[in-house]
Amino acid sequence: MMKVAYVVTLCCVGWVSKPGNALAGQPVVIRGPYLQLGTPRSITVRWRTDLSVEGRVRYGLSPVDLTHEERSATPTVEHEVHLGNLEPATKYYYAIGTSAVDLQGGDESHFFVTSPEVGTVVPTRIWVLGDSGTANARARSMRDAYYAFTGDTHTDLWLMLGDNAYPVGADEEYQRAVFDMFPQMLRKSVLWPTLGNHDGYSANSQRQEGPYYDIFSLPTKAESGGVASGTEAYYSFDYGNIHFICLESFEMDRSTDSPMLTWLAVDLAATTQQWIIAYWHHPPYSKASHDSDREIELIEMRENALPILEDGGVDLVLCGHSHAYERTYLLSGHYGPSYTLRKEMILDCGDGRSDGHGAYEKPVVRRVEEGAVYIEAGNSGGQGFSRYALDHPAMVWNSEDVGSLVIDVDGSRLDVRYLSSQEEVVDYFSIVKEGLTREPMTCSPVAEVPFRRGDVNGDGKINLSDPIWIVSALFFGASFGPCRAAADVDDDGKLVLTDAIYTLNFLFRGGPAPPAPYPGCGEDPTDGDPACTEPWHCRP
Amino acid sequence: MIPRSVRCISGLLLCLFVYLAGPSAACAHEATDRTIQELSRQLVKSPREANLYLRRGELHRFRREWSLALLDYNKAAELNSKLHVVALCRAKLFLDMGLPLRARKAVESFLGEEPDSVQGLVTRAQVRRMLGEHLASGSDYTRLLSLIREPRKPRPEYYIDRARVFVAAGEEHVGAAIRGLEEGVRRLGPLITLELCALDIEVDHKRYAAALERLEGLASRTVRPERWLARRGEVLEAAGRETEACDAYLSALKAMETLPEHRQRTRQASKLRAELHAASRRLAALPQPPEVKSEELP
Repeated sequence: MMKVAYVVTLCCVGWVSKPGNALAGQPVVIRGPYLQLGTPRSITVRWRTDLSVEGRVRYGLSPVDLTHEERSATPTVEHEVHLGNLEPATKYYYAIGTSAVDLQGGDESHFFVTSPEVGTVVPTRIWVLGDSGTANARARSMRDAYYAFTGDTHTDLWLMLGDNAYPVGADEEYQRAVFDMFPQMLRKSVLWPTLGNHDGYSANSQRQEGPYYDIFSLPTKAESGGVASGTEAYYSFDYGNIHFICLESFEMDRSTDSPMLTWLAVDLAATTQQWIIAYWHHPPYSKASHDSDREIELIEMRENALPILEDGGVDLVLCGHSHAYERTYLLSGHYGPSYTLRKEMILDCGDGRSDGHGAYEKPVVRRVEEGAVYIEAGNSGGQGFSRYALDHPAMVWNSEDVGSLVIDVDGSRLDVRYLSSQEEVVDYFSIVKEGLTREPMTCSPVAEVPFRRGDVNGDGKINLSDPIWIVSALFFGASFGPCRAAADVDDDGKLVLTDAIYTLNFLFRGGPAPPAPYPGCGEDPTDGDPACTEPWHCRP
Repeated sequence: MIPRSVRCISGLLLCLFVYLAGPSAACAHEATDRTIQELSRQLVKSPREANLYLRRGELHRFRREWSLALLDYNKAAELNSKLHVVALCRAKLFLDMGLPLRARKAVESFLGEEPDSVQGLVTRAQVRRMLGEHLASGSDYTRLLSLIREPRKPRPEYYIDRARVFVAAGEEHVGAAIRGLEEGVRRLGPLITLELCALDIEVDHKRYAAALERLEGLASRTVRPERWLARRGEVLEAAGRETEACDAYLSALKAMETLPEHRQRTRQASKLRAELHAASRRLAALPQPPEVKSEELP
């Protein structure tokens, strides 16, 4: 009897320790299922098994009545099954498995909802994560905060803004940071990612190789709307009345005549959608862990991609990379460094909140559909520190809270919330396109704020510390402080090295004194200069 | 004339900047810098590991530190003479430095060992293009495209680069350039980057009928044909067919009127509308050819 028990125990141990279920010859699902390439009439279901087998998806309108099925053609561990002939805006339940048996699903938690017909107006919830790939406790609390916030409201789609798996975007890092972190969301909502620099350390966008490109099935032939890009590195898709554009800001050519930006212009000119949301990794405006005045990817995306996007009527731009939350006013035409921002580029200087200065309204003026809000939300993985300047003058709101973005689009209204991992809505604003009610709020003219030109550090006098301050801000990422106008010592409207030289020349070589306001405090008599937002510089 | 004092101060500040910019530039490439440091640490432990030198050399090349990169490549080759890829890295380095003759020597040496390397052929195609050997460059592109087999897809840029070298080779090779792009469309799908490149070549070389046919195809595939109709007008105008050009511009304007209001108001749409109005006004102002009476027709 003891002998029999011993043999049975050995068999059981052997069965458990082998990959798959050796006794029954059954594989085990070790990744997914996850949803890709959603369209009104199709979706792709992917998962990974430990053994190479034929894959099958059974699906139907009820979890207990999975009447349809699709199979993968050949045995594999990486299953990718395309389901077609679906009805738009319809909830389907599904189960994944082998050709003989279901391995997972067939219950209430395994379902997907197909996209609505293109152009139709349906309330849409979008979840957006930036730099979430840390797989740590902070990322988990960010995730849990969103799950608590959204409750029973279905997430129609979610975006990852790059750096989805740290440190190098390897397959096992994706397992920890994406598949083990968000299994519930992956199996019911289509994920649309973009590539970050850390993902790019293991992947090659030019050759479409590496874990990022192996893991995700992204459109290359306009499968989900838009214009065919021919590459998974950048693409577009439609959902309801929204057109989404994903760009690749790390490895692809970012010059104006590059294939990516050529495609972008044509894609924008081909859409009739009411809303346009664009996203990529490197933010055009940031003063957090990265500086958009100094880093080439950020500069080129701002200088080259933004004019095309704004010409095409983009409404919202989402980026990550910098580990904080930064949100601009409703902007248009700001393609230079931060110190070149002019008040005319801020189309609405309000906070965009319905219970504050009022939602941003488009078209703003002159019946031209311009103005976009730019958000840098690269702190979903909790990598931020409380030492960033966070002083980009285009920003209406900054935060170092770990969190994610929640976007709700309903007809002609778009609401955005930044939800912290403490389940607090840290920032929120809206853009509306119909029923316009108010004049846009203009920014205070810079001349109204008194300052002393040349007194950059605000200590009440001009001395050697002021040009040093300018050089530090120009070349070493230090802040100009809230009064950039004081640093424009030669009053040419630009913050450049000549401002430091002008001061040194004045101090030590008998050069001309700074233009007014100097030597006393006063208002800037010239318009269109760098802004001075606080009067702390004018110590008598 | 800049005063001497200002030049002095500028010089001082420039020195200060150069002195301090070193660490700053490193900050901008923090990840690369960290990897270089890590590789250097590993090289202290394993000083005979050629691959480590090669990897560090590639990072130096990425940072445009040419001599450091070359030193690492040389060391890698010295430690492992069978590491042929060093020659390819050297070729890319010389190409980046604008030294095509040295790049050619290096890449030929690499291709001698690995004749079917796609990266090797891309590099040689670029070298040959830089040397003005357009047809030879085109042959390299053709060969590398044939080496990339399903399910892998070639980059659209290979087709575009091949077309450009054929065009540069002379008028008699324009047809090959366009056929090459069409081959890309068949293989990769109707990519707008390939189509636009073909269209530009056709227009530049006065192949108006082909350009118009292509534009018709592009317009038929979109719900917003106004841009393609406008382009059709430009092609017709270039071909001297002003009346038809004017009709095309007016059709584009008409198509714009059917757009949803929010798409009519974009800067892109406003700009196009203004251009179309200007073009149709310009053509309307031209003297019209005298009408030919039917009895005068042969």
